[in-house]
Amino acid sequence: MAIIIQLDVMMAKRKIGLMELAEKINITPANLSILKNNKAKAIRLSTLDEICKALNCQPGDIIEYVEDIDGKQNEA
Amino acid sequence: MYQKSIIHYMTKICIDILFFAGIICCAYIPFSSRLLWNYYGVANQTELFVKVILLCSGICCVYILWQLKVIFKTLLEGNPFIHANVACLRKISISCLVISIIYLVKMIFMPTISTIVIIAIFVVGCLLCLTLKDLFKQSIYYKDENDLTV
Repeated sequence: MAIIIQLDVMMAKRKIGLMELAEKINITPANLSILKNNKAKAIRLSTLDEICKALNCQPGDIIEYVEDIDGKQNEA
Repeated sequence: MYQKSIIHYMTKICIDILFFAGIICCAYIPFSSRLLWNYYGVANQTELFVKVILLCSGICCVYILWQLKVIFKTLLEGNPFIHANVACLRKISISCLVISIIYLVKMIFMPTISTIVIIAIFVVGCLLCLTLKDLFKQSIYYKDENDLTV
């Protein structure tokens, strides 16, 4: 997939841990970990809204589109 | 969340009873000469042929019941949409096809109306199981999509 989740970068900037953020946005640490590790297939707008509220950022700070080169760049 | 129902438990119990009854019946077939003559008028010449037909189709039926037991176990655990169940349904469809072929062979040598009915039932059963298998595959895909939606 060409969409990269930069959640760990924003979490480091705001100095907030996984458990703390999960509690703030009311999702399980397991689900947040799925998102953080780019394993998620989709994200609800309500979840994105809560994350941006908790981290005081824009959706573009968390989600980035990287164009595939030969369709394999982002598979690793 | 999966809601357990008494109907699921009752069905599981029925399948379990049929499974063990099927094993007992299959074990009894080699010793069923008197039963075959008294109730079905099967003559000595055709006795072995009928016993082979009954034993082979009986083993396939017991196998089908075993696969159904596996599927129902996952259903009662609350997680039926798994690849193992897709494999179980494929095996059930193959078993149904084998039973219809067995009775097709029987039809050639000993044609009866009940044989035609059995062939029709198991051919339809085979096709239904193949359709269910594809349905389960699609359900697994949707479940994975849902599980990985944050």
